[in-house]
Amino acid sequence: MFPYIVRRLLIAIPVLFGVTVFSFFIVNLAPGNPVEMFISPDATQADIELKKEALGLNDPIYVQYWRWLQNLLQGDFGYSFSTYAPVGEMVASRVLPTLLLMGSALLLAYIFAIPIGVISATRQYSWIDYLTTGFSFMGISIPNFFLGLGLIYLFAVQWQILPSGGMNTLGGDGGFGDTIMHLLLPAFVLATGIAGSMVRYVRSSMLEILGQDYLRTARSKGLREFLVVNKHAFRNALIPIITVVGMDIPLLIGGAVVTEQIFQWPGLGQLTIQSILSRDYPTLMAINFIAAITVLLSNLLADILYSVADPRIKYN
Amino acid sequence: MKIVKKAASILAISSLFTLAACGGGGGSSAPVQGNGTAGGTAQAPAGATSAAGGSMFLGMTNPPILFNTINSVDVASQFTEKFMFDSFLEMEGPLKFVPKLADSFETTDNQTYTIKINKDAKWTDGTPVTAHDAAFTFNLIANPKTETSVGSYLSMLDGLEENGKLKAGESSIPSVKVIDDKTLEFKTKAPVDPNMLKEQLGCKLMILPKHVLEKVDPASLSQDPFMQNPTVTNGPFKFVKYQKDQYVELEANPDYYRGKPELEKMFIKIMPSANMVAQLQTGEVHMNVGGGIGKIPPQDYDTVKGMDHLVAKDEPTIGFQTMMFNTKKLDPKVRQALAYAVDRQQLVDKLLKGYGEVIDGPYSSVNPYLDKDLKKYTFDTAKAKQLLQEAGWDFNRELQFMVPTGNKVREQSADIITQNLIASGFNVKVTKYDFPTVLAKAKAGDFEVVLMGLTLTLDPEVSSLYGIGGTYNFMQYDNPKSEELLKKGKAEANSDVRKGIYSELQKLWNEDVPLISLYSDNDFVGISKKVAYGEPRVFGFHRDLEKWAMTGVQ
Repeated sequence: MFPYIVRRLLIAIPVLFGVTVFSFFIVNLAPGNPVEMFISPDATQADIELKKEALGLNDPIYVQYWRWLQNLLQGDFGYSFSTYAPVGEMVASRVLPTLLLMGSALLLAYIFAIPIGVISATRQYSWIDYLTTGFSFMGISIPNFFLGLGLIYLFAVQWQILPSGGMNTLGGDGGFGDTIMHLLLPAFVLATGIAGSMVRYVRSSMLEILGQDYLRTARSKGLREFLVVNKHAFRNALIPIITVVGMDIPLLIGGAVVTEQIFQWPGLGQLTIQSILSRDYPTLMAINFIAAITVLLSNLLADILYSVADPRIKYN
Repeated sequence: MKIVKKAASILAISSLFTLAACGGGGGSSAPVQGNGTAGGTAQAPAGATSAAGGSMFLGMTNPPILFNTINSVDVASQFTEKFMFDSFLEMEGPLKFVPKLADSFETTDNQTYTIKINKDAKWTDGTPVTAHDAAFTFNLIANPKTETSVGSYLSMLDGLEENGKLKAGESSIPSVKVIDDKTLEFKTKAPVDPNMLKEQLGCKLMILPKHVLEKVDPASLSQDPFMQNPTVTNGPFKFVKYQKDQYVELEANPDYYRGKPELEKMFIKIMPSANMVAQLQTGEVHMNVGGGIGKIPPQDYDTVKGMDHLVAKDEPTIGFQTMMFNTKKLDPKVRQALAYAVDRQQLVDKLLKGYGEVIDGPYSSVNPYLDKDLKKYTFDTAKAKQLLQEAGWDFNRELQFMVPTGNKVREQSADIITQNLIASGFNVKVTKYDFPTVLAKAKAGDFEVVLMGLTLTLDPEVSSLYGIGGTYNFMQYDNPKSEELLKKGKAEANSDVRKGIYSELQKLWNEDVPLISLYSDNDFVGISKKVAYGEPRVFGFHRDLEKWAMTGVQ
């Protein structure tokens, strides 16, 4: 197992390198550049020329890439083209809010979705099953922005029991409880979508296992139904679920652009949109880089979990 | 053995969850630490602190980018900076100037100008604001190593190169003189209309503290931490912090030279315009700031007017939307046909709910330079068709219509315009791009018709739009007559003579139609009745911020 992990990590290095080359050129291919965004009636032609030179945009793309890579190897993401703040700090300040939001959304989704999926599968075609599949279908189908605005209207405008956006009350002393209050609505909105699909995966995965012969054997030897389902069946249903979880984790970083926007959650999604619109190359590159690392790591994690869940899977 | 493995598998699964949960715990602690301001425990959304002066919450849609007064291109940054930094003058009505940081801003010959700085003006660290600070800022802007976005404020000063920068080897502008600690004198290359200088240099430029920044290399000034955290300022409010894209927190500057502000704190909250109305309703914000950076969507105007705890107000602005034509691809007759083809009144009535006006040139009705006798293009499909036939227009030819995304009202206007153009016989092909792409394509002349919004100055000088090589002249308009008049208008110091020149220009542009203005939309704002004094204004928003106040105990 250990050599396998090391090998995977070593392979990740050239992959990451490839991702940075690819995304650097793609980002530069987008029409428009940061200096064009700079036009203002107050700026003179000389001001614009100077800015272009200062940002290094007059150099060929491969020179710009080489400079970026050199800085990266020294742990420096450079300065933002639009805010002039160090990119590392800008991105770091967004990672935690995004992790908090997406982490709680995923947690919330799994806590509800997994038991519901199991119950739904064990009582196939019962009213509970119809109810849960119905609700999960709704969860998948309702657009986040719609659900978000609807909840803001109810909870913030009509009943005034939850704040309509942001992460802390302005002028308050904050506190963890305050952040939780702000977190509830956006986390719930995101969780509905994730939970909706999770219920489906768990249910279908369980249904497949429940028809297997070894479960009949387990029952016939007098095992209680609770143990049959939760010990024998669920364990075997885990493999496809792990795959889904492995795909969900990169969402932790990717954030949820729309939801963050509606709830003014200061996460990576908002930063990404702004840096795309202002063609802020260094910031975009940093976000790409972090996203690539997360995807690689979560794939690795899912592979490791496969072998833990199913001992027949071995990596040599 | 089996049990051990099972435990491991449960552990592994649960570690997945903990990973998510850890992210949660870690994330929440940071903002708590950062939020060390005084005040009660978190309560209902609005008006959390109940201290003497109270807090005011303003709603804005665009996040400020940075607080570098000489290198902020975006309106949101400039707007926010003006709470912390004072300009020399304020314009409280069209071309009506009142003193602010400067007691006076005068000239006797329209060429040599004297600025007298308020004798009590101090930076927040106690150092007096002097003419040295002003000269320092002027020299920074003219320094070819400093990244700046306001070079045009000074480009007419005597002793500078053609491009508005210092001559090689010089480190200060020869025509800028510090007479004494509070008096600055400078000279322009030729006489200019004082109003032009007062509007730009007087009302828009905010000077920087010399004693804080003089050791910084001009080449890396933009990256200096001061530009993220402007700790030494001279305005009514002091910077506390900027929670990126969420809010800017400001507190009263108790030593402000125009008097201690009534308010204790001022918050500028950032939110999408869709949330603005909800927050006005709940009282989470006390007003939207208006302008291009704090709009309410027009479909919500009636909702806001219907709220008992709000006062609604609207005011005409100088901003306007245009439809620009590529003059290299469409000849004047076709451009005139396009102008007749669009039902602009419908745009104002339907999209702006009547809160706006149809204008023909670059000047709205607020602008004293608008020629009111100008012939108007009315909506006339028959006339458009006739002009097209006269021009020998091929009705099968595709008309490339480019629309930038981002401004919802403008996107909707594109739909109406497209219908209008089809009615006049055009074969329209609409393409939508994000703004940077539109700019790149417009610059390259890769379009035939494009929608673009502009907010220029009250001063009629618009060579950036109509002049050859102008930043916004995507139309590639190059009529020599217009060029000559533009130069003449810029050089003329007498405002009555200027009025004549710009009248002539407006007639010329009306014939040539390199662009047709669509509408100028009014600023629509809702203001909470809890606000005792203060309201968004198109002119002089920041005029007397120190007097802004909330009613009673919040």
